[in-house]
Formats: sequence, C-alpha cells, structure tokens
Amino acid sequence: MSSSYIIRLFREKRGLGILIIFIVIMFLFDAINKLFFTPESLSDILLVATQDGIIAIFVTLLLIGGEFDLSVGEVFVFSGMIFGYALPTLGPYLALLLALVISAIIGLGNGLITTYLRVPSFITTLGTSFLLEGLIFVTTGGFEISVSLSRVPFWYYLSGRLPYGFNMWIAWFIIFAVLSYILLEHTRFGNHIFATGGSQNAAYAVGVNTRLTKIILFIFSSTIAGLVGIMSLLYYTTISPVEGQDLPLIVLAIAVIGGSSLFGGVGSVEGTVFSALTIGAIYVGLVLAGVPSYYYYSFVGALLVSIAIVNEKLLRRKVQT
Amino acid sequence: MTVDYINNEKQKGKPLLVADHLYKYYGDFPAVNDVSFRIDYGEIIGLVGDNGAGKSTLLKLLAGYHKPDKGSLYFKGEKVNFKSPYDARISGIEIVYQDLALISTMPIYRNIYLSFEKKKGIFLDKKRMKQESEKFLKSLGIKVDPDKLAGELSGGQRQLVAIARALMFNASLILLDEPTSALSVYEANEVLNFVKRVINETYKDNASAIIVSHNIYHVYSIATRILVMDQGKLVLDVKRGDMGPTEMEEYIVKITRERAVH
Repeated sequence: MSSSYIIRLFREKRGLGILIIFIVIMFLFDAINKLFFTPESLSDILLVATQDGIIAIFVTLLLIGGEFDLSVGEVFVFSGMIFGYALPTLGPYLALLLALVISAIIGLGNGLITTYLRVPSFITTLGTSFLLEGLIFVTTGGFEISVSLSRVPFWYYLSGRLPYGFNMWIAWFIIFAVLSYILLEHTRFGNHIFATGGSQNAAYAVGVNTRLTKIILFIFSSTIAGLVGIMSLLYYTTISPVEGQDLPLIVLAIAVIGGSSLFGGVGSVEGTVFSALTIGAIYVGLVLAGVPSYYYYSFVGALLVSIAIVNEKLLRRKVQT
Repeated sequence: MTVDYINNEKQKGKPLLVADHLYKYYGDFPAVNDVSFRIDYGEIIGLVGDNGAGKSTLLKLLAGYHKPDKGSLYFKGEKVNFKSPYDARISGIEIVYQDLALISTMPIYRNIYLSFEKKKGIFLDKKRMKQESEKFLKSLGIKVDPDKLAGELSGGQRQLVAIARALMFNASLILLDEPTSALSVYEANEVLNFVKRVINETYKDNASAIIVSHNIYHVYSIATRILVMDQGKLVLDVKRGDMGPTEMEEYIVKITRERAVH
C-alpha cells in the first residue's frame, strides 16, 4: 500500500524526483566545498541553469506534444548572428524583430515538414540544424560575431548584470517558467499538448487539431532559442559559431532528467526547471570540487541514463493501447 | 443486390442521416464503393462484414475523420461537409474507436472533456470537469474515479468510459467501431446492452447508433436493422425480424463464395 502510494506520487508529480535529487546534490557539494553556498557560485549555477533552462522549458512542451527539436542550438547561433549583422544597418529594434521572425519561420518550417510531409521531427530538425550550421560558417567564416552594447538600448533588460554576479536571465527564466506552466497545466492548448503527445490519432479523432498544436510548439521552441541566442550575445558581447553544437542534446537531457518522456504525453515544466538547476549545480559543484571539467559530461550522462531507467521501469504506467 | 434508400418502401419517417452514393479510395482501391443508406431516429444499426469490407472506413467518413472522394452526406435534413472530427462532433455525431478510444497518459475526466473543455475565463475549469464527469459516469452506472489515468482502466471500463464520453455531449448519432472485439463475452454483453438502454431510455429514441462488428451474432440481439458490407459495397439492408442471423450469415458466405468463383 505505502510503496504503491509512493510510486503513484512520483508518477503523478514528475518534478518531485528531480527536486529531491537537486536538494541532495546541493548538500553533497556543500559538504565537499564550503564555497558552494556563496552568492558567487549560486550565480554561476543560475548562469548555466537559466540559459539552457529557458530553451529546455519549450523543448519540454514540444516533447510532451510528441516531437523533438534538434535545431535549437543552431537557431541560437543563427539568430545571434542575424542580430549582430543587422544591428548596424537596421538598428536594435528591427534587428531583434528580424532575428526573432526568422527563428519563428525556421520553427514553422520544422513544423510544416514534420506534420504535413510526415518526416519524423528527429530527421527534420537534424537537417535544419546542419543547414543552418553550414550557413553560419559560410557567413561568418568561422569567426565570432560581436556587438557593441552602446548600440543596444534594451540590452540591460535582456542580459543586464545584477548584484553578486546574478543577471537578468533569472527573471526571464522565472517569467517563462510561470507562463509555460500556466499554459501547459491550465489552458485548453496545454490539454491539447498532452493529448497530441499521448496519442496523436486518438486526439485527432475527438477533434483536437494535432497538426496546429505541434506547429505552434515548433515555433515556440525555435523563437525562444533565437531569443536566448541574442541574450547570450548581449551578455558575453560575442557569440561563437560552434556554441550551439552541444545545446540541443544538453537541453534534451535536461527535459528527460526532469521527467519528460521521449514517447510524448508525459512531462512537466517544474520538472524541467529543477532539472536545469541540477545540471547547473553539477557543473559548478564539480569545478569547485577540483574535478576536471570533462567529468561534467560523464556525470550528466550517468544521471540521464539512471533517471531514464527509473522512469521507464519503476514508474512505468500500466499503459494499454 | 443494390440498395437504394429512396425506393426502399420499408423505411419511412424523418431521416436522421442520409448517405448518398459515397466513395472513398485508398490509392486506386475503393474502400467504400457507391454506398447509400438512410438512418431514422431510434434505430440501432448493426454494420457487419468481413475484415477489409470497408465498415471502419465508412464510419470514418460519417465521423469526419476522412472526407469522401465522391458523394454527399445529409444530417438532420441538411447537407454536411465535415472538414475534421471536430466538425462532426459539433453537429452531433460521436464515434468510439476500438483502438483510439482514450489517451492512456491522461486522466479520465480530461479524456472525457478533450476538445470540449470547460473553461473559467481562459483557464480550464478542472474542478467542474472532474465533478461533472464523475456525476455523469455515476448516472450511467460506471464506477471509476475520474482522476485515474485512462491507462489504468480495464478493457471493458475503457470502452464504457469512451461510450460515456460519446453520450455526454447530446449526440444524435453514435458510431461504435468494433466495441466488443477486445472484450470478454460478459463485458461485450454489458457494453451492448448499455448502448441499447441509453438509446431507448436515456435518449428516448431521439438518437441512433451504428455498431460495427465482423460477427453478426454480436450485434444481432440489439440491432433494429442490419447492414452488410462486402468489398466496399453495401450488399444487404434488412430489418432484424426479416432475416435470422444464421440465414444472414449464410447469405454473406454465399456472396463471398460467388466472388471467389468469378
């Protein structure tokens, strides 16, 4: 009785497991190094958690809707590149608009090809990613893109520094997390995301516009990736053409560690938020523990596989089709 | 034997649905081939035929899941042209699929209200959906917790909940695609009697149902009329009393054999 109750609790509240892991990891790293609970290292955790986390939230929505987006990394760089190049001629506002519109159009393209031409999104977005990567290298010649903040009046709102090393990304992370939580859990569209990912045909059969649902989610993930690319460019004042290469898989890992299922229909915004924080904590904690930074990837990989095993085996729902 | 709904003297009264020379092709293959019939209020139609006879495709045409390549549909006296299942549901046609009934990963109450969600402003009114689906399920004698995931239900419960959903929104025509094929004999009887009771008592004959089955004996007991399909064509349209189930089965075997000879 009590063990089945606990399994049920973890199954229903997908964010709970990762919240516990986050807390354990925080105490673990604190025990290893007393510098861990300082504002400086917390701000470092958030720097990692928020950049990847904002994108991961929207990739989570897409994953719940039953699709992947492997192009978010290259859209991130491409959008930053367009903003950087358009800034001198178009000015900051039009450059921002142009970069976001192009990011949205890339998402629309991914959505249309996946839903109407029935190409698996894994292939569609992988192709988009390679296409953009090629365009980025042809255009930049492999060099970094940089901006001068004096030309961008709104830079502070997107990426301004706050006291103790914190920055505005925290505010955006919270805003996007709250908005997407409400969207997913408390609106008709959110209900249709769960339905579309749970069973596309069954959802369509009772009247859900499953294609439109997916297309909107593709536009979301792509536009947000573009926005975060610009935010990153404004924070570091440069963006490198190779910066987006790991991003789609890290973001996917965050979503899965947060309890999303690769088969669709299952996942939560809060799970992804705690997962992003956990990934940030691991990154900073390992650095502070004096561990070579390459172990970060091994650590995340081990966590990913462990969580996947637990989710698919222990918490597996009795699903009949 | 061709069936012409206009010249069929047996069928009188106001039609609920008229299918007029419907065609649906999969590539060059006519899955539904020149099918015409009418349905009146209060009828329970058994739609019977072998696997691949076109029964499910015909049902999907009526439910807006597929669009007919040729032919017209009239529902409650008006010509209808459903662009999606949503259009059909808005008009009052509900369908229960054998395999697409419910979404396993979602709670029962959210399955029931899917695409007809209750809202408070722009937000979902989960409390009301939960309460009303619990009340409705109880009124039909279905004892399940609406908060449970659909994936946790037994096969029979799933069918009952899916049928309950079809009844919840005042449908006039309820389409059931092989509702009994995955069920035990006991569960199958329960489901079929449930449908009959609801059409006759709850709806007071203001609705009709079409029940698809590959086994004539499954539907014969509750049907008022039987339609038989073979190779996309409607080959038989009789009232229950006019032909016994054994006779009907022999007839189906006969036309299948004739086809094999030719």
